[in-house]
Amino acid sequence: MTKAISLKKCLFSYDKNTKLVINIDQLDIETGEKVFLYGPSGHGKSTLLNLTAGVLKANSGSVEVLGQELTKISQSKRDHLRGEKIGYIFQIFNLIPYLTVKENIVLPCMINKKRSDDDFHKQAEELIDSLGLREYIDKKVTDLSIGQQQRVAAARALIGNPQMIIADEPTSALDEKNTREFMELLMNVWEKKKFTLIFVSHDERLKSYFSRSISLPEINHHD
Amino acid sequence: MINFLTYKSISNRKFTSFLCVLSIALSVTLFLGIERIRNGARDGFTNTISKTDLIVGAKGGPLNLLLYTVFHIGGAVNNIKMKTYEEIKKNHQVEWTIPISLGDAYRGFRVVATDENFYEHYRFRGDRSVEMSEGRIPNDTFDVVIGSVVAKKFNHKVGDPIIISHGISAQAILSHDNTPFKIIGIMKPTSTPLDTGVYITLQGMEAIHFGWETGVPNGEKINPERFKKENIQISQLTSFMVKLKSRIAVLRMRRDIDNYMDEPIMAIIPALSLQEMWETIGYVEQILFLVSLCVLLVGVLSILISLYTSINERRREMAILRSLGASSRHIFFLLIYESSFLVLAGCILGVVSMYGLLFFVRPWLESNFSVYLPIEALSSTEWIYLGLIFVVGTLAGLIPAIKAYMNSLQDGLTIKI
Ligand SMILES: Nc1ncnc2c1ncn2[C@@H]1O[C@H](COP(=O)(O)OP(=O)(O)OP(=O)(O)O)[C@@H](O)[C@H]1O
Ligand SMILES: [Mg+2]
Repeated sequence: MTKAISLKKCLFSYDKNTKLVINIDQLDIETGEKVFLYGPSGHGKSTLLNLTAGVLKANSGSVEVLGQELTKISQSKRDHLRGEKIGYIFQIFNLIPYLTVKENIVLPCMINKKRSDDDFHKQAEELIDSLGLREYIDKKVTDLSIGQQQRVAAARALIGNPQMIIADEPTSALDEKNTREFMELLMNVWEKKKFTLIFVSHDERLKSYFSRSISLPEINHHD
Repeated sequence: MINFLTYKSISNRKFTSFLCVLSIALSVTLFLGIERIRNGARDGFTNTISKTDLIVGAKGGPLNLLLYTVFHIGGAVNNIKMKTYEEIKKNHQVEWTIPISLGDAYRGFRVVATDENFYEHYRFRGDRSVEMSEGRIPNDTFDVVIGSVVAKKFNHKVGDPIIISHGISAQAILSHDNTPFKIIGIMKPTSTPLDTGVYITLQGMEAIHFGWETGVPNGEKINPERFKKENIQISQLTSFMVKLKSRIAVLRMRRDIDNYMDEPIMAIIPALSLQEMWETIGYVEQILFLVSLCVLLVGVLSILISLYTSINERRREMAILRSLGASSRHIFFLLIYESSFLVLAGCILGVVSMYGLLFFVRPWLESNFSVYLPIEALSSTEWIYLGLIFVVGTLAGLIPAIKAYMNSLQDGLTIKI
């Protein structure tokens, strides 16, 4: 199996002079792996995800994602890579407030040609159904509850067959039943598509869904 | 994609977008409106008289000749002989002439003696001619036609008798009591000096001075036979207007008149003189132009401000689009597209409301300020102005777009909801 993600001697700080947030010697994630990432709040989980998705750029070291060395390409190339190949569920959901549920979900397909291959409207409808959002399909996302918005964000990440899904606490606002349903859906889709999945959560009970779990404090030596 | 997002985004911010369009429209309206008024004021002035190629009068100041012949201001030092007029009129280059004889007044308004050529050939504002709102043109010795302002001021009707005073001052001591005139026509308003004239025939002008040869009435009774039109000889004129068959001949004709042997006379080209005169009083125009430039500047600034604030509101939105893979170029076009759409809508609304405004203020401006504003299609200069406004407005939208382009992605994504 080839590596989907490979970090080496990766350093990152938000400000050049402040303390390091990320200091990882080596982290490799294989293509198609399901990885569970956990650690205490404020330890740098979201920061690490942003580095791998190309939202942030490492100060030094190498960050190789889906065959591209992110530290060596421009911001727009990183945006492009993320748009085409990565579905990112942000911790704050980052939905566009004036668009409806459906419009938000199909947005990645409208922006990236590569993700609009199949009939993405049909795919969107399927996702909407399986996430129980049918009755909200034409509502503005601001009219939805936080848990519902989280599901919209998940659908937006899953649409268009991305090679990698990065999920930053996608279940933090869901109740137990919805969490279970959400995880089952995610695993179902994974069974079909076998994308690389990196999943961050506080909730260590979710570990059992994944093939590997990584404790961030064990690999990140930022102090 | 861009169409869809722009449409959605603008309709989400209907009110602020509308305000933005409104402020652009307002500056466009003001700018074009002031420009039209500025041009209208100049055209109104320089077209006080049109079609006439030359005005001929006794040698003296050219401006003076223009003022007393066209604007009824001041007076001539000398008259010119009828013989001179007849001779020039006969010149084969001449298409028509309008004789003018001045010197008397009616309650402060100038009496202008002329003949039927005046009613037939006199033109102003391009091709408008003298028209009667009531009655007909003077024919008999004691017929008089009055301008609309005169009629309004004294509430005169057709059929009213009037007494003309001797000399041109309003507080005339001597008047032509024994030769009363009868109003037989009232002119339509023109917003030119025509409105303040009292028009009689050349014969009428001669007739009221019978027995005045010494400058005061000698009290003799005059035989009514002498007042018959066909019995009156015209001996002199104050000035006259000339139209030539070909414009090419104008300069040559003017030189010939200036060198006329039998009498010291001169000719002016009214269009040129009016233009010169406007330039000397034209600082008003320059001030108006400055004002319209300021309006434009404020307009562009307001475009900049409203686009800038809207971009600031939308930083997060832009960041989300980028997080989904939209390139900076995408975002840039999105913003430029939106700003040019807003500016375009503003320009269109501005032009429409300019015409609306023009329609309402036109009669008022024309009658009160002699500003002549025809409702015409946009001139090529105005198209250029609009084009410039569009480009400048879109460029103004570029500044916030560049800023959005430079904003780091993280910046937009970490703003908390
Ligand atoms: N935009 C930022 N600028 C400066 N410092 C930041 C920024 N975002 C996060 N940090 C700092 O970096 C550290 C790691 O933050 P991060 O968001 O990665 O934590 P996290 O593990 O995701 O926490 P949580 O579980 O609460 O989401 C924190 O100490 C935080 O203060
Ligand atoms: Mg986090």
